[in-house]
Amino acid sequence: MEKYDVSDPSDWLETHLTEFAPFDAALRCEVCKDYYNTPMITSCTHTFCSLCIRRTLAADGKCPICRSNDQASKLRRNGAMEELVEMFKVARPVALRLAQKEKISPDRSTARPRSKSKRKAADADLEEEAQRSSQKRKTRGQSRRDAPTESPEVMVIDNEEDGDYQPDDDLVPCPICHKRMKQEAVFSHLDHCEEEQEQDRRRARTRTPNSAKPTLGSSKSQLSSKPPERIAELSYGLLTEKALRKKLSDLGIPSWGSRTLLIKRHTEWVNLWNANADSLNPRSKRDLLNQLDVWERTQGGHALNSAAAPNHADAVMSKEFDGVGWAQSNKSDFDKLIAEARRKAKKLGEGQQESEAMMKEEDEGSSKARTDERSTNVKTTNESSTPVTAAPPPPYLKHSDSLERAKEKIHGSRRLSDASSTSLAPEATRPHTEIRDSVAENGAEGLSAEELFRAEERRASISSFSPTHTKGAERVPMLKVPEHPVRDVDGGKS
Amino acid sequence: MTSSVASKRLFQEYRTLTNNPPDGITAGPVSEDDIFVWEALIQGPEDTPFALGVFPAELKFPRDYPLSPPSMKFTCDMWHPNVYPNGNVCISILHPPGDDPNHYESASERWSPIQSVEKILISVMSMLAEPNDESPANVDAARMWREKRGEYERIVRDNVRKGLGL
Ligand SMILES: [Zn+2]
Ligand SMILES: [Zn+2]
Ligand SMILES: [Zn+2]
Repeated sequence: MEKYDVSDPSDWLETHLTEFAPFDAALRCEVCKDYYNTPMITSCTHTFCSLCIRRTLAADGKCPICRSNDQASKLRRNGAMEELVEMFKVARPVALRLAQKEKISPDRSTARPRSKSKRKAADADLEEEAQRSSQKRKTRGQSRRDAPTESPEVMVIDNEEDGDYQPDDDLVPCPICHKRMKQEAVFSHLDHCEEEQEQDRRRARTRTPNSAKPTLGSSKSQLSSKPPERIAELSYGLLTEKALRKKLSDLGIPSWGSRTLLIKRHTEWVNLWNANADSLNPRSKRDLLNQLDVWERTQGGHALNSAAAPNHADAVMSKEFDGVGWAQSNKSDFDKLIAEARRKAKKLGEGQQESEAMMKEEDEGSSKARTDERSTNVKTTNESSTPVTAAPPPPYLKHSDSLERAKEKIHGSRRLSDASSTSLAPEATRPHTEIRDSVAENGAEGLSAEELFRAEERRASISSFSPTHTKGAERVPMLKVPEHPVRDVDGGKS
Repeated sequence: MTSSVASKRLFQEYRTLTNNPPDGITAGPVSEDDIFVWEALIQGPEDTPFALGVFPAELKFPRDYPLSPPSMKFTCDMWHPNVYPNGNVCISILHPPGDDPNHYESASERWSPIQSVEKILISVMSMLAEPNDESPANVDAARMWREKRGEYERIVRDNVRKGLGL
């Protein structure tokens, strides 16, 4: 079963090495968001995994970053990036462990605000919980990866296979396993070597980085030993279905299905094959056929048409994903938003009677649909004892326990606000801190909820909107981690 | 055993979003069995009639994601020029560059495999603040937004309240 690497640049944000987050991100392909796998550089000098860019170019012939036209045949290997990535992958778990250890040590209190850039203090506990569980998930994955790559081993391999230190023995190293042999023996050796490599890889995939580095060092011998053959792309328009079918069976891949499917399958095979030919550690054809089979089940002829239907591959992935971590992080996220909504609902509730009176006024002569909405709205707020929503719950709510909880909480908050608006119940005094928070958020301290609401209206009617929320979010695009995670976004708003 | 490109990438995105969520945005798969259907909650941007609201939506990903974009549909009442009456969201980042149903979107704003769920949700958030009425999905909402802004905003605020169960 394949290991699923869910590492992410943001892992560094919770450590002392926050500067590693953008570094980590720079080593990842923008298409798959994972570390570059056989990085290739385009004519427009953008870098992607070989398979990622080949698939993209096969789909629309354009670089996904700058949209320049390009062709797969013009791709060139980005060897320096490949080496960088492989070395970083070895160093990462070690560095991350150290950086996390440091966080637990004495100055933990100073570490926290640094890493909680966008987060609110009230959510810290929930987040910590989520963090802990993701940590657990991570270390579980890592221990597997770490074990065979402890530093001594890396040193030994560096030593014996660094290109500069090759013994003067007239032998050349196999480009795959680096065993030394007579040059003419390399070709016949390669056949067995792939098999052995395959087994090795199964035993410890983590060695790939080690074997990648020396291969780069001995590129001269590689040039002479194995010029990888690419499969040519076809002009499908010129081929009859029969000819196309024959092409596929000549390549040794399934040749059943409609013409469209044949074309899709051939394209995928060309991409798989050629990306593999780009690789410093090419896999066996059997491996590629397995990959094609996965494609067949997920996107090809055996895929279910419905976009929503689960498939086997997904089920496997789910199992590998830590179930507890999944549920918990989801929960904390939903709770976060719900806590927010609840706070705001309270604020709304405070000014509700007044605003309803106001709205009734405004409603004179408005559309029928809206009057209907209003009446259900008023009805619900009056039925303070029974927690029934005005509208049927969105279908979405049925799918998620978290949202059921969310709904309950919103009902809860409605009951609270109803209570506080009919009688001055203790609730009116209790949520002081929460109200203060939300007032501060809106930068309008001292205003009543209704005044706030009106202020919103006034501001909204000014045609140039200022979506501060969005700007804040845009400051942290997916692959560009904030330069100074220290900055307190909330504080900056006031 | 190799897993599909799309599911792997979606897991990666889910990881990123849970690790480091943007302000006011939450998203994740509806269930562990199907990574291709997500739910998202978007907070209404401040200083707009959507402020204070939390808007649930469903995202459906195609099998060839990220080559093709997902679709997005609000599962709550949403009165907005760029949201169809059935909740489907119509913005350029959800349209592949090859197909431009609206004939006005520049290719650079449209879907590319380097886009992400996060970028979609951020775009939708800013769409809430600044509707694009050039080629509206909801013609009535667009007209009202242009001509009777006050009425438009009242409907939006009503929906916000309704969504919060108030
Ligand atoms: Zn990639
Ligand atoms: Zn480019
Ligand atoms: Zn050179």
